[in-house]
Amino acid sequence: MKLFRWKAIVPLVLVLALLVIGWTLFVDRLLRKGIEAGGTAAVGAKVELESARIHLFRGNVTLRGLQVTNPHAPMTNIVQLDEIVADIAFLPLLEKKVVVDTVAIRGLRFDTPRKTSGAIPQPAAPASRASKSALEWAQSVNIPGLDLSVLGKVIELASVRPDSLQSLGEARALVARADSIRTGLERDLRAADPGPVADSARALADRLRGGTPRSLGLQGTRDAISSVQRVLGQVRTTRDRVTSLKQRVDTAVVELRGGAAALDRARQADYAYAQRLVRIPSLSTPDVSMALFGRMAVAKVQPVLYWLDLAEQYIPPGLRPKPNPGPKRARMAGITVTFPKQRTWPTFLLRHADASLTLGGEGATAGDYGAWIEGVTTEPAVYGGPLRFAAQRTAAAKGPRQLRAAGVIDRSKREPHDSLDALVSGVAFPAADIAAAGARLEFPDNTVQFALDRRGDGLAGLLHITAPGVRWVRTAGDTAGAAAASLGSRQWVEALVWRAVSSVRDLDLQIRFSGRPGAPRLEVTSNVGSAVSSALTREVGAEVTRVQARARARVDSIVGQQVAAARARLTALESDVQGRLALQQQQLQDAQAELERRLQDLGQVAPGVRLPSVPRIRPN
Amino acid sequence: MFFLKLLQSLVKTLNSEGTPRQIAAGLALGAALGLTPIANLHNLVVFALACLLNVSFGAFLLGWSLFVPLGFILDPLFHRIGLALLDAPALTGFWTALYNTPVVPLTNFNNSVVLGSFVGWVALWLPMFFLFKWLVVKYREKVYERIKKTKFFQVLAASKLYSYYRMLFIG
Repeated sequence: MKLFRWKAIVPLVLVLALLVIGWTLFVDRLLRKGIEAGGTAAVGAKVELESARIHLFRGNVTLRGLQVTNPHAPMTNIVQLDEIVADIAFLPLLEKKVVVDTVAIRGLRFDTPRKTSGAIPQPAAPASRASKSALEWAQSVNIPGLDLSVLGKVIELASVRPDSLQSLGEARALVARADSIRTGLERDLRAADPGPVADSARALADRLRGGTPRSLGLQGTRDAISSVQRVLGQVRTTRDRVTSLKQRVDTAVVELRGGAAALDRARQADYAYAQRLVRIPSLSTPDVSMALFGRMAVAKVQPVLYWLDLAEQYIPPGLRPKPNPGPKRARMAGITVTFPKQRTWPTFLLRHADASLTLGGEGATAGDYGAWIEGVTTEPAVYGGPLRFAAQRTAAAKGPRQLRAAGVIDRSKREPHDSLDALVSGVAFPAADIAAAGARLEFPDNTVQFALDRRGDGLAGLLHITAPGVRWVRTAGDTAGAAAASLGSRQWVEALVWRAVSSVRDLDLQIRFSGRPGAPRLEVTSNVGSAVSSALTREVGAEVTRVQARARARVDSIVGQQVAAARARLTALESDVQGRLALQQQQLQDAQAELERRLQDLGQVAPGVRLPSVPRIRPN
Repeated sequence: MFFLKLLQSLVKTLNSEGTPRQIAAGLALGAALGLTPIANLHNLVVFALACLLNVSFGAFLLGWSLFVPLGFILDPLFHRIGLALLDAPALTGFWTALYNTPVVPLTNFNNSVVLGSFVGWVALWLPMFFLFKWLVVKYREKVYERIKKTKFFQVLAASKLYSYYRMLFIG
């Protein structure tokens, strides 16, 4: 029987031809669907494409009508492009990798309105995680208020209850721990009592005082040396035990001192808690700035954290195999693992894109732009270099006078290093409601400087907004009624803040964030905050200080006794137990020295006489 | 219609002899298309083998259709096998070399279900082959001899359906 059916070659070729025709007919559609699905999953909002066309023989791909929705504003596109033509290298395609040599872009627009919402019901896991993480951070930021209603009223300090104070618990725990340690140490001290051994040693030393080998005789000397050696051994063992006990006591004291430090911190936290409870705001410039601009700052920083988190997930550093969800199909999708390797092609690489474009019309974005980007890849460690980009507006018809941005995102090494600088001048921001002032702030002409530096697990960023000629618009109304408002009431505070801010013409606002990329600290400073802080301090500083002192006194009255007891226990342990142990160590040391002297006296014997060896005494 | 006629002529052309060995080999090859996700390069190779090797093409198509539901059922198991292999530190170097070799990544071997089902099929190919061969021999010895005398079978034998049946099981 023949192994091969050569006649089958023709039908097989026909079937393969059918497959190629099918591929040709459907590949464009598959590519469009793939880009839409992949882009939507990556961004966390709809990415739409009108058409995609692969020109296999020309080695390029043409995408038309690309819209990328802003995940934080689903009725807006972050970016919209009329046409992208990408020249694609052929050989990497055989490794299922896409390497784009050059890109030509036409009709690029930012922040364009959408006809339908681009929100998606269930974003992909990375986008959903990034969004959740950024939202959790935004909710965790403590934005203080400027509520001074407590002033001029009888302060209800009874609401500061003992069970709400951390220091009470800390003090009780410290007392319990000190008592427990003390009990254990007392037991060990009794067990290790060196008194009998020291007495025995002293008695032996007294008995042998003045004795010489000549007076004791050979046998007597041997017996005496033997007795001294035995008692010295006992002294040494007891000294070891006492030394070990002393070390334990020292460790316990260090532990309790740590507890005492924690108690101090808890007390400070209780003071802050009591002040919050009676609603006394801090009047410092950073806190007042945070109260005025905190919400605005959070809204500005939240998208930055979202994109950083997303980049972290999609562009991981290092060369580890990376699992991703498998393709959607009727069968189970499974997990697809990529295995990056140095000096090969990454799964996706855009080597270089250069764009010089003119946006027409009357909109704020109209003008000439120049931009380039290189090293866009999903596997930076394989590519071995950073992503770099720069963009600037070279001529403006309308809108921002100056727009430039440049950055480096380096994930090619184990420690990520990202750096970004951007400057936009002459841009108008939407008006911001400043609730504490009962006012709206309009800043029609801003200069915004943004800088971001991320190295390893550390992140530092600055958003600096300067705006000359800002306008304050009173929204609270009834300015006449404010004059008659009682001290500390909302109208009174609004009127005071309004008086302070309405004279500020130039805004200087700095929003700084630093720390871990997932949960950075937020600090806000501004000249407006400084003016309001000064005004508040001038008007009610003394009253606030008085209320703060009363709140602290209330905390002290509740926790003072327990805290004092805890400190007394610590002092007792330090002075009493440590003192007793030091005394016992001294007694044993004296007894040991006395016996060693006797041993030295007994060791001076006639030549040729062999006595038991004199033990080497370990110095303590 | 054109495709059906083509397939019909292909089937007629390919099945000149239907020994138990050819039928068993066809079924075992067809199992690859059923057990593993269809749109993968290795299945094109298996299809080409089924065409070019002197195995029962009808049995190949039957094996494909029989094993499709089994593939769906066994997907969770295949996923676990595939993921265990892809995650094995000892094999990372091997997978990395394969992943960066031209054409190989087009097989989607780096997907847990594809790899698990493919490895499962390769491991079961020989046992399946011998099992099917034994079943066909037993069928022809015992079942076929008994049913070919029934009236229903004689009516059926005159129909076109029987020609397909004969082509698949009897040869």
